[in-house]
Amino acid sequence: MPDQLLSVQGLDVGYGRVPVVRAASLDVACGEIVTIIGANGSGKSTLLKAVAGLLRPSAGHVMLDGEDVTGLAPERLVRKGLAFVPEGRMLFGPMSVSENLALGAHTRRAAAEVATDLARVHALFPVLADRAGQPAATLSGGEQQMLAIARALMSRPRILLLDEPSLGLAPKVIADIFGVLDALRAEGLGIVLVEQDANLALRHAQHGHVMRSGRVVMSGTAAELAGNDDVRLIYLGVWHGDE
Amino acid sequence: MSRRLVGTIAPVLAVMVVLALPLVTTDRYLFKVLTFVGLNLIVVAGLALLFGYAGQISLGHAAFFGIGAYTVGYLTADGAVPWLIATLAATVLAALVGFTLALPMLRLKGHYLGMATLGFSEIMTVLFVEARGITGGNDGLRGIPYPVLGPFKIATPGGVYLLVWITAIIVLVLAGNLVRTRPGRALRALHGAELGAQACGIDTGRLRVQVFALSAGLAGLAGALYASSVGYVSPTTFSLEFSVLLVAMIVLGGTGSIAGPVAACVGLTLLPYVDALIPGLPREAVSFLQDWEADIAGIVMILVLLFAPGGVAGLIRSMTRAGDSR
Repeated sequence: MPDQLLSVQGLDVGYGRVPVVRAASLDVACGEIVTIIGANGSGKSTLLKAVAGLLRPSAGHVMLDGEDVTGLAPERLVRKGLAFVPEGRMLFGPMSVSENLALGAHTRRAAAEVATDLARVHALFPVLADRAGQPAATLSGGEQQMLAIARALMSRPRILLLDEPSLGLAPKVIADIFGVLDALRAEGLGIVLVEQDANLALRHAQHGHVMRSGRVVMSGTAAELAGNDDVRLIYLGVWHGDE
Repeated sequence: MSRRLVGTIAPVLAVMVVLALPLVTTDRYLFKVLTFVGLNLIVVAGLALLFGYAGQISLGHAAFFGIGAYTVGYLTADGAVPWLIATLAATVLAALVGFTLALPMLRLKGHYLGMATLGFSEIMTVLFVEARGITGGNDGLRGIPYPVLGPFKIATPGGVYLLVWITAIIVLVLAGNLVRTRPGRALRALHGAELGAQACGIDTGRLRVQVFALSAGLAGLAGALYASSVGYVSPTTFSLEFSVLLVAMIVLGGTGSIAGPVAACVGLTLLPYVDALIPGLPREAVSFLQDWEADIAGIVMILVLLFAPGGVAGLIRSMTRAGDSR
């Protein structure tokens, strides 16, 4: 599989000695959204954190563009083109929107390229240009999520990891944000999307994985998963006769 | 716009007043008191970065001050080492000790970091007394020579005052510039959203060690200047009380600011000397202020934390914001 951008192979992750994720594998190609769905506590976020370098896996490999990056610190992974949008956004609240974006480009030195990317994220999220001087903490929830994604994009990633981007947001805002994710995917970005809202995730993803109790129990194209009876019943909430 | 103008003009005016003072007065006592203010400002500049910007508390900076002071005292006592080299050595040594201490403390935050630095401070206090061969024990070191820069011996209170304040101004300007640069932005990012900082590709562990070492080095520099200004060092100077006073300056001045802690540092350092600085003050008021100095500082600190957590800087910020009527 030479065109795989990110390849996670048999990853075991835990907190201390308590194993949370067992033997998780997934592949992401350029221009593809791969979603991880599953109930609360199924290990989705833990897996994502391990891929982002925030937790050290106890077994398995993370390959980025054919290079083994297992256990690398997050700041090294950012430099290699992997960006992470944490759950809860983790913005720099007292700092302005433009300072948050400048921090997103912390690893980059070429000012001209950074300026180009700033113009690009402003085009994707025009509201961030309007709010440039405002402290991040004063933004609405949706604007904060946009800023978190924009901040990650400022490192010019090839692969973007998103943890629960729809959490607590209004449907209209979710639609805007996922529209941008679709556009980024179309430009060739690889995206790993951890989502509780399986319906939403499977509508925008190409491939999906279902996690239960720390294991990937089902994998397939988004269409396959959306058509699978178990997935429909448990994660999509579709009962017999509904449609 | 007017706010920016004030922000540019005020420091320039302050620097001019500081540098012009020896032209208008020769009051030796005044120079000595102001020298202490300048020395504290150097430490506060480092602590403002460490505590005010990066959110890392230290209750051990008096110990770094002491390391700097004893290093200069030991090295220059019999004129063995030139003053400038001894001062640089003291700064580097304090920074190195800070670096070594910061490495194992990397995982600690908040109260735990406070406890660890407190422990370090207590260890150093004992060491200052017990390592008699170097520190002179309870008697301390005496006869430390005045600073000598090339052919110039800086042997008057006015000269020492100028040396300390010029150093303090340079340090403060550098610190003020640092927070506006790329590493300074990363430093501010560390405060509160460490996960976010990591997601931005900031090596948070390395940054924390760096800023701790930097602030320790600045405390060492201040201690070095103290030793050659005063001429002697004794272990009681570098107590926990001094560390707490330094932290109080940052809290009173306001985190995330350099100007606020500078103002608080000037105020708190001058408090014990009010009688000399304001001649008309009634005797009872003076003795009250001096007897209750620590209590006043403590009560003011509690009031600030309760009612103005942004400190002096926060109050000024909200006042100017209201004035701008935005």
